[in-house]
Amino acid sequence: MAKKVMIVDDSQTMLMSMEGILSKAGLDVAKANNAEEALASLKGGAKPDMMITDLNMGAMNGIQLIREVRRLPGYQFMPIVMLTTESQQARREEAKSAGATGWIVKPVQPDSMLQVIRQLVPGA
Amino acid sequence: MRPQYDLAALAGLASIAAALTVLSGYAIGTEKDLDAISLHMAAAFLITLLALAAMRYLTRVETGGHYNVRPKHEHERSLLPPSDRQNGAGSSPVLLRRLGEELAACNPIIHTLCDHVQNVVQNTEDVAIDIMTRLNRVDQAITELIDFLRASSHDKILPVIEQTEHRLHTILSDFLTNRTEAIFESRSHLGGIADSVQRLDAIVQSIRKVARQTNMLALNATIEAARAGVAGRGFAVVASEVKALARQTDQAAKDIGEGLHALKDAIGESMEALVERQGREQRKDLDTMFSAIGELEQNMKTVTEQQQETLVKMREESEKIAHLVIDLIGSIQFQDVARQKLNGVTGVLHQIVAHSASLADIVGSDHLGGENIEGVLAAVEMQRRQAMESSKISHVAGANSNIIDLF
Repeated sequence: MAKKVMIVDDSQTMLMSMEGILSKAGLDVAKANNAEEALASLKGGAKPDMMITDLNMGAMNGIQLIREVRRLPGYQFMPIVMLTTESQQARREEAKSAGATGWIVKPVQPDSMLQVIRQLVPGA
Repeated sequence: MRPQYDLAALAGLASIAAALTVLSGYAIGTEKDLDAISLHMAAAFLITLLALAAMRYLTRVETGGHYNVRPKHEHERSLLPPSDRQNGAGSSPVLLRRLGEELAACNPIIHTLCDHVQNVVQNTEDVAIDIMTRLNRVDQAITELIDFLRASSHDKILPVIEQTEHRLHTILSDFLTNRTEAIFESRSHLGGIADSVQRLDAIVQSIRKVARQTNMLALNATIEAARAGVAGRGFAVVASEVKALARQTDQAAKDIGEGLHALKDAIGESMEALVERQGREQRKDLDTMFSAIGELEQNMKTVTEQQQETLVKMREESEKIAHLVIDLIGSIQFQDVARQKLNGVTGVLHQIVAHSASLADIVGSDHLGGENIEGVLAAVEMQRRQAMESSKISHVAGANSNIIDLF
């Protein structure tokens, strides 16, 4: 059974790009246009094996999203990777404290992205 | 800035800043280029610095809220309103008011600049989505091609080859069966002829036996005719003729028997010759067929290998193209990176607008008192630092890439 990855980004370009890369690698892709939509999806029963989220988007940013996701039952240990244009160390530390699994600076090479997913999600 | 600095220097800086602002605004309107944005930001910051310098200057030379500084040069006078120029003198409140007007005039330009930037962002996003859609179609077509090529190499070609080989073996087997049956039929016919000859030979022997007995009867008749004397002379002639006929009959039957033997030998030889000839011809035909089949199989093998090679090559190249398409799909992320950088620039520009608006309000105020200036300057300085920091963050974010940090 294919592993599912949820992508959270307010950019349609990013959503399409990531969906193209991941689905080609045989992964199921769930898309959310913002943090609120992602949370609603999780609460609605979506069971992704991993989440990739942008940092700056809408009312709730990626770090706040991670904090909310970690509070949900069953999502304590799900890998969540930030995919953002920012690279400040302070922000990374903030994301780490919130429960992020990793930090990737855009743009990321497709092969590198898939390598990270396979490292964090066994069987992906 | 030291108090002895002339306001003329400040006015010059204001002129340069205004010119930069106008020029960059024009460039943005025509070229939509990031260099123009940088030029515009430089102008805005120069205006800010100029305003700060002017305010600091004023705080040092303040003499009760009014300043009397006469412009030394003509171009400084051009900054003054016509009424002040006619008076032949300028005053610092007038200059400050003009400076405030210049600062306020920058804001619509910067707003226009922000609109341009957002339009560019939206346009690039639309184009990027269109490219993504087309790339996905290309990827889908290549995937279907690869699947087809993979199926062609195994599921379609091999059954055709196996079917052809099976057909060839069937044809060959039928040929051999037909040939063997034909030989048996020919031998059967010749065997029937030989049997008939054999039966004729028996008849010939019977005829010869009858002839010999007739000859014996003729001999006895001759003896009896001799005993009869003159009365048996005529009978003696008949007996002699019967004897001659019996001899001729025996000779004829003997000749027929010899002829039948010759015919029987000839039939036997013909049978062997026929079998040998047919076998030879059959071997020859079989050799020709095997040679043709071997050649056909070799040709099919060559064609199959070439086709297989072509299919493998096409599949390999298609997979390379598919990988390149995925790389291209990944490269579309640059649009989002550019979007966020431009959004960062827009944010900085909005801070600059707020900053310059504050400055314009301050320098345009008729109640600019020295006791409030330091506080106002501190607030303005804080705004400037925030704008600089935002600009720096935006720049740093764009300068780094390929960073993967797993905690």
